Amino acid sequence: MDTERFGLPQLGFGVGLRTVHYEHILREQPRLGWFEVLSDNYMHTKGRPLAFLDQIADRYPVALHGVGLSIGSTDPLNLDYLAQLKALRDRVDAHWVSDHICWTGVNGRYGHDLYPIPFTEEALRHVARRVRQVQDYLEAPLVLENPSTYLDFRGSTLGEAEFIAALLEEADAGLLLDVNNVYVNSRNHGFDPLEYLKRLPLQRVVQLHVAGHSQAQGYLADTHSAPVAAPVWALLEQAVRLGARAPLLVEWDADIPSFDVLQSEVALAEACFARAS
Amino acid sequence: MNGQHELAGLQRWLFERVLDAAPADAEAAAALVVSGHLPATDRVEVYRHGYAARLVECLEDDYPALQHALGAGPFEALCRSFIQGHPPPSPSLNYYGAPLAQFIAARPERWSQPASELAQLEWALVEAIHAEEGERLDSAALGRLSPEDWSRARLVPSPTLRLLGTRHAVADHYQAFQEGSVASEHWPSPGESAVAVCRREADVWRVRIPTALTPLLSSLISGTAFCAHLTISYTRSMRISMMRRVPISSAGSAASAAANPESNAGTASLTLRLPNPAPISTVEMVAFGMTRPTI
Repeated sequence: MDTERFGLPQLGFGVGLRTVHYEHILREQPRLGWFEVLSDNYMHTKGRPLAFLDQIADRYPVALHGVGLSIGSTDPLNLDYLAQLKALRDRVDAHWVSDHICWTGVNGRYGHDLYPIPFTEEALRHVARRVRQVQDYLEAPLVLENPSTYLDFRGSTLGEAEFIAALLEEADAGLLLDVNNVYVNSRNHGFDPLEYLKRLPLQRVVQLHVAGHSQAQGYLADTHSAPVAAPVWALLEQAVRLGARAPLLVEWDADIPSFDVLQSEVALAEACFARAS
Repeated sequence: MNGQHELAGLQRWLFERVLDAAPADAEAAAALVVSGHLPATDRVEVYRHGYAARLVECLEDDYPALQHALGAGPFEALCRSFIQGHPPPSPSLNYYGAPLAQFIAARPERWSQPASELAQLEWALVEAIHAEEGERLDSAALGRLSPEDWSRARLVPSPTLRLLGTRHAVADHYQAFQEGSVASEHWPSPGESAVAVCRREADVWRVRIPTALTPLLSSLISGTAFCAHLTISYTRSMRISMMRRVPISSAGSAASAAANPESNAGTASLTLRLPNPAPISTVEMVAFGMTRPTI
């Protein structure tokens, strides 16, 4: 893992920083390449979460990952949000900032979910323009994640992978390739996940995500509440073989297990990378 | 219609259905959304369900004792009722649950008052977690105050400090909840009660306060100078910090402890002499969350 993408460092293998693990991490200082920090959880606090984050960021490399940028919304960009994001990035010396290719609210209201964008030329230009504005403000590349989605708009004129590829090229942004989301979407929308990967500009992958999903009624739900499923590990291996050899992060957000379990998932990811070598 | 307007229209259409502000319209959904193996309305429903579920989860995180007292089902029903009238006002969910106590207080159920007071305590804990701790009270700085300064000195409360006066024993109830010794669907017992909440580093403290002392503590928190109520003697050995036990006496000497700062060593001891007949002769007061004296 010695290739640099956008000049960003290869941090190796990490896990998402979660409240329940603060004390374990500080006490045991587990061997781990880095932590991904949910920026929205720390941008609006001056208290205990920030104090723990400061200590962990002193000991480990961190990157910020958000859900509230709403890069696809037709509302104006939230400049207060951007200012808080930049301040947090600078405070913890985060290596990069990522969010999702989605929108989270409209008309000044917030849904706190990752809503899908229609894959149209017009939406592409709209989102790309906003990505460039954010990058200008942050003075750094924005790293964008392919989200899990549960509906496609009939008006879409591009496929999801084509839309993402064009967006990244037009805005010159990085990709956070969430392999679980590719798998979940492939099942929910009926496409070949390997073909999807081949259409992405994998040289732009700055970071990888893997996570667990759940079977809901008639669809797969991206719940981050379970171990990474075998088909997702297999798809990760394919992605690495195709060139997405980037820092990897294990996400687990609900029914969060002990830190040892997360480290076991990291070990599986390391083995996956070794097989792909 | 240009692309921006088309995109905006699609976003408004979906979001209205997510918020339940518009009825599910199968025909419109089928016209706008690809169905595949899952009907278009079911795909919209994933997002509508997710919106409420996420906010309920947020409230569950902030109000575990209230959830326990109400029971899981009634708590979720309460949350869903709250959510309908309280769309999230910001991109952050950290403070989404702030109006819940007020919302409950206005409800007609017989449990609304104890439930509202329990919610007030749980929200005070949330606020203590997220508030800046601020600088700590430096006992040496207190020791350097001249007698003249004492007459004008005020204490600056920590931003984490919250003082609650309630008509039910919510602090006792919450403690029992923490210890796992309170059954579900039981409420705090009636009775005047006061509790202060404060954080120091990672630890959030709940301290029961004698109700007779809450006006005094409220007054100090609001910035009233000591001399308005009392004269103070100070023992340097006390460890004034996030929490400190402060004996208050109506018969104490303002000068004695200051003259002998090592006296009363090992105890946390501000001695406050009340200038007027005190409502109680001697009480143990826990004063905390004061960051610094200011004159």
